[in-house]
Amino acid sequence: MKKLLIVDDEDGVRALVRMTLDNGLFQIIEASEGLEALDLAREYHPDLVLLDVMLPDVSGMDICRKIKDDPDLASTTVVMLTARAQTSDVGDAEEAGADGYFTKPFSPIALTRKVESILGPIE
Amino acid sequence: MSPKRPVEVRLAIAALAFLVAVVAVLGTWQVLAARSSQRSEIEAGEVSAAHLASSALASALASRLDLLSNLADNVSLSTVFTKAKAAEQATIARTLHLIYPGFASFDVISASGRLDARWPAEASVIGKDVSSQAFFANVMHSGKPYISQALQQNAPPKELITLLAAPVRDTSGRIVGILAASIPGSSLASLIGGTMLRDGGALVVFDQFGHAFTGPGASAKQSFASLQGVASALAGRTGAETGTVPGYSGQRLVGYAPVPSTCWVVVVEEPSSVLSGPIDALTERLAAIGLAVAFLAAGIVALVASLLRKLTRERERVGALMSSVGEGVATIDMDGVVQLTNPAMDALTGWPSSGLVGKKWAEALDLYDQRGNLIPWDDSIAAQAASQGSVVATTGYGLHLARADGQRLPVAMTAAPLRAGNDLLGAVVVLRDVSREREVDQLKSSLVSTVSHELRTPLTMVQGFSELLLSRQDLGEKRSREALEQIHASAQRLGRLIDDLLSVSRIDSGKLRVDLGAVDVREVVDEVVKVAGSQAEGTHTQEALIAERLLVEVAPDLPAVMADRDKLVQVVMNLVSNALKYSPSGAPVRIVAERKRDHAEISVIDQGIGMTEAECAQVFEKFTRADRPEVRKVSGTGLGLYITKSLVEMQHGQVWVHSELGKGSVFALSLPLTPEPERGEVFALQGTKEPR
Repeated sequence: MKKLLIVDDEDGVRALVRMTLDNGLFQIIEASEGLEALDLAREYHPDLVLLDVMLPDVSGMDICRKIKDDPDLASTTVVMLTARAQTSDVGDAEEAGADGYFTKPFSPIALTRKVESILGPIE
Repeated sequence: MSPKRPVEVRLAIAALAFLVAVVAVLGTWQVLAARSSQRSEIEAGEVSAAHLASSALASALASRLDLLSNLADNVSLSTVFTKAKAAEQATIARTLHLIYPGFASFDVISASGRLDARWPAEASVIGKDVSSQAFFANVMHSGKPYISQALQQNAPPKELITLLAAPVRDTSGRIVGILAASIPGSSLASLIGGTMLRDGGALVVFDQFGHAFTGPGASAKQSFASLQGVASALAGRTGAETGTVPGYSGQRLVGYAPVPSTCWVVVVEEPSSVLSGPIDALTERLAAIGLAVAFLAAGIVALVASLLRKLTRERERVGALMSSVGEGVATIDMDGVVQLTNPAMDALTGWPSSGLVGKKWAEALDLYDQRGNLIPWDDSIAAQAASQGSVVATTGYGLHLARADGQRLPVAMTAAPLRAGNDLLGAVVVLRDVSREREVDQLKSSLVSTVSHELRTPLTMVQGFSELLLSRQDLGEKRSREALEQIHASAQRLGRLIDDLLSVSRIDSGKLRVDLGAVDVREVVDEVVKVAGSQAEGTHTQEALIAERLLVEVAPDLPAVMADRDKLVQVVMNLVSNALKYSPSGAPVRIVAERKRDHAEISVIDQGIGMTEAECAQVFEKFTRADRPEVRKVSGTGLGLYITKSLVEMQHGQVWVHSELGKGSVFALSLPLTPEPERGEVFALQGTKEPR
């Protein structure tokens, strides 16, 4: 079973992502803060991390960098989830080593496709 | 005009006064030099006139004396002297007088000193003894002709004469008598001939004893031998000097010369006016020129002073303008050296008054760009304005100036080229403190960022959940309901955000009005508790939980307050919702209302995250949220407490906070109670309301 880590401080956003992708094929892990997310990532070695940029404690970009720098998490794919759609964010995401980015508001269908393209067909 | 003349005016006056003084000194010197040269010239002329006159007189007298000697040497004459009768002698005298009209009279004098004959005839003197007279003794003693001193005639016209006397000898050479001839003093001048005299000048002839022959002082008795000119001439000297002359008043210029071989003296006198006249004329001319120069100088002084005053006034006006300008203004030259600053510039840069002047701008003041990098002088807009000759201005609020004390100040800068005609002199730099603008700009950015984040998050959920509901048939009852609840909560959240923004906008524009009346605090608190439960985000199961957390303690005898009921509900709701948001879930929030003298105090007490002192100080300001994870975790716009404070103050109340980091906060507000007499009515009103 593929493991998915959702990191967002907004409960609603986590609920939306969970409802979109919760089809019994994933193990879904949730975190509302950056450092908590890093701990969970190291514990569960998720296949995919959907990572919000604006987190209460540390920036999502920093968490992304930390995940990418961690040799134990080499197989982890990181997709940034951001409410900001500025090109500088896109550049920052690439610089931080993110494998992709997704802007809010987002379409659940598009998110599903994005995750499929990364992890292979869900159904 | 100020009482003290400007320094330039004083300098100009001093310079011109100096010029006038120099002209005056030079003029005076010129006058004195001219006077001196004029004097020597006139004196030379005087001496020369005296010399010429004395030579002429000497030669005329000498020729007459020669003539007389020749007559006296005639042999036949000696017989007349020794043998002829008186009548014959008189005839001889008459004949000689007839032949030689140059003489006034002829005398025949015997060797014994008896006057034997005279022509023109004068009976009274015939037979008179003249042996005691100087001429007789002289001729008889020396045997040579002699010219006498001034003698007074006894007979009319009783004038002064000089007597020329020559010895008459017989064949053996013995002196047998004296032939004498007289010349009147008045005709001596004609003997001298046309001696050139100036107007007012006169010729005075003195004899060997200093008696004057001519002029008002003519006398055979009074001697002027002691007068300096006369004495000098008698001593054989020629010269000129200023002194008195007998018969003439005042000081005179006197030229004198001895008459050779006679011991007489000729003095030519000129009135001093002759001497001073031309010099006075020259002096007058120079004085007139001096006066004209002085007037001209005074005119120039007045003109220069007026021009300088105008310039000074202009400069003062520019100075006043520079001082009054609120922006910092400085001028720099082409080398970047500061020429001029105004007080605002000094205040802005922190340099002491005019301390910048004379320094290179680039060395005295550092400018940094928005990334904090030092801007090289050549890239600064002041240098660009000076080199390109066009107006350059900074944009945005990124530019920072390092003040003298090292503090960095956001500034806006405009630089314009400074020209005089076509020449580029440098640049004018205008600096403005944009701290306030920068703050507003940052506030605007934070508003945009907060609002866009606060809008985007609920929108994400509305869009996402609705899409799920529409596209997925397999959601099931439970998930569908959860999706709808999420959509509903998000819609409410958006609604609240818009309400907040509208409130702020209305507060800021002064359009928000309060409708004050008697309000029962308990009623307000009850409503807040009810609404707080229903507004709880997420599922309705939390509603009961929240109602459990809120502990209400309203004093039973609390009178009604003067307030706007809806606004008061909004205020208390805000405080309660904040207390819930920033407290651990399950932690109690107390709502306490009690009477404090003539006020009612409502406190909302939580056991939440609390605040630092600095955070407390800023908590009621617009768009300010503490920058730490516990706060960021909770969604918010930073508008609620600003609205709260504004609304409370509009209801004549006050709001404040006591807080301790990690322990919790107390937000309290006080509102005035309704006036005493109205209270009964309020209770009555509530009494009628309650049964409903």
